Amino acid sequence: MELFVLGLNHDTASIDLRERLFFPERELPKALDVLGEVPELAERMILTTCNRVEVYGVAEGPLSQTVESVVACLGRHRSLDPAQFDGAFYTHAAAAAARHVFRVASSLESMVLGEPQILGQVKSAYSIARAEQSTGIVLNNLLEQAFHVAKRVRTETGIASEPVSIASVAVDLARKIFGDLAGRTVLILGAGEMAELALRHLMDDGVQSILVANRTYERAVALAEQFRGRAVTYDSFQQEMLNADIVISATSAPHLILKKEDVQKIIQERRHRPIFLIDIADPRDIDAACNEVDKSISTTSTTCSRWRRPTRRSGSARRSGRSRSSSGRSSCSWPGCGGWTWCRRSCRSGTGWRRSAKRSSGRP
Amino acid sequence: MNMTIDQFLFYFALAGYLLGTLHYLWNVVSPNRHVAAVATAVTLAGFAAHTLSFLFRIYALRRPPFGSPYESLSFFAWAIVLVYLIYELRYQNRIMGAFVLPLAVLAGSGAAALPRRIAELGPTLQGIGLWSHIALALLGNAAFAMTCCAGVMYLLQEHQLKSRHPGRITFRLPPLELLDDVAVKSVLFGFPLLTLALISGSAWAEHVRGSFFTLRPREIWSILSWLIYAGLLYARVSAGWRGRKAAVLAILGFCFVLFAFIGVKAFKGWTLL
Repeated sequence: MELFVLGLNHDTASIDLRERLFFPERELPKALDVLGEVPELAERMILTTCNRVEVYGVAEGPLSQTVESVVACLGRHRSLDPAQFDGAFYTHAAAAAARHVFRVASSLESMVLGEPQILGQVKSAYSIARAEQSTGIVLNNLLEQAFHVAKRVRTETGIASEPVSIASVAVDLARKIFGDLAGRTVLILGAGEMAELALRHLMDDGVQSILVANRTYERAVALAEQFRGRAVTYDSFQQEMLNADIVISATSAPHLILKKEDVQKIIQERRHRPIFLIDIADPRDIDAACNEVDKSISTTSTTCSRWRRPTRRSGSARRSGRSRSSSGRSSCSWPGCGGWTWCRRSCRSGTGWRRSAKRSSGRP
Repeated sequence: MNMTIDQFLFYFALAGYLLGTLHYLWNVVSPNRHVAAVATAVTLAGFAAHTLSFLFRIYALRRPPFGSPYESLSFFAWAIVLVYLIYELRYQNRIMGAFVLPLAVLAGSGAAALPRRIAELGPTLQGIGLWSHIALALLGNAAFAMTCCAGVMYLLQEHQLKSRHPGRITFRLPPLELLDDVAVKSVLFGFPLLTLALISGSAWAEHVRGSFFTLRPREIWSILSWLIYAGLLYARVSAGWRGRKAAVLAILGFCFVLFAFIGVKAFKGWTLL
């Protein structure tokens, strides 16, 4: 009996591969069934999020053989050639595996360090596996422990502190304006740490096209390269705003760089397509009056921090771990469910990311 | 009290819509997948009963069920629910239900309050031209009800997003772009219907009254609402009007539509046309 973790994530696998291995929540029971075909696998559970696909299992036979048959089984199920997986999967065994599960649940492995969604995702994956009776004494103990650890990490370290929440609140606001962020264009002003953090959040949410403007052009190029975006010259940023849907300003300029008149002009030239301005700079870059312009919604870091998420609902839902994980799923803001979510993509049931994204944003 | 089967089904439908509304509202206050599913199920059941009720009435009357104010209001409620259900299916968003379904309940209760005896219709009040006019107009109005609700939700959401002290409701309302999309699609659906209704209506008037346009208040209000929606579409295409202005226009347009449909009648007493 040996505990192991087999998985791939945003570092090891391309988005195409991750997408093809992604299981929407309602297909998880079936996927667990399929894994049941592997005789050496005593216990199993599957965690899929937009950034990772992981199988937690307990092997009865030799570890390498079990892992191989699990990979082969996944490949068969999704009709993928195992050669495509080459190097994409990582495995951890025993103590290292437990450590990995703890790190994932505490969001130490996340693309955005400290993001709060992952715990809800792990919880719902676990409750599905439990409902399918595919977990046993080892995984049950491990996961209960992981939830405990994750909670301690959140409360006893500063991991979930302000910068993360500003960026994530900004993303939540953007989602309330544009619906799905896939296919949207972001313009980043400034190439500092805050800009990078906000960018990570947005990337995490599916934004694909990124423009970076910075006074020092070289730094813009460096950041753009890191996120496969495009660097633009600082002087032309107002021109670029015609194409951007979301503008994040994080420069260290001592004065306002965007005034109400500018925004009015830009909105008109954009033919009134809405634009979302996020000012996370200190002192502020964007005139607060920009908010008054129709079709432009601007927000600042102070507003963002006031925009406390209505974290999980009532006290009764919070009290027991089980109902909390289920509240994470049921109160989902994905247009299909209507509400608020911690689980974002994992709850898009059914048709896979792109199709569901298109449907919800109303485009054909 | 004797009740015909179509009346019984109508009350059943109304109860379904009312229950549906309550569940949709509950789902806004505290989002819950099960509550939302119940809301849809109850509304669907009400809709099915309502449809059956129409079929029975058509069978009994041997004519389309638009002959009295009761019948047309009831049909209006049915059309609102139909349009809403199409949108729910299309957008997979149930928050809209909390805004749209109350309108259906209002229209349905209005119908329930009206006399339901079967009116004898004179020969001028029959004929395919008039029936199609009423059906088109009511379906169009239902689409505009959807636009209006999307507009209200848009204004609410925009206000919340722009305010410095946003409330919880923001996290429940659909995204702005989706609301804008709903508004446009429903105008695009309702406008041709309204246009056809106006054409068939004036053709009927020409046939019966000898003039296709008499300055009756209802005709004037209908033309005004048609102009508003035409302006809304034109401004969107030519000047890119979306969002706030479009939402305000859509709400205004629906007020005109409602007045043409109900207000004029209420002032002049309940007569058909």
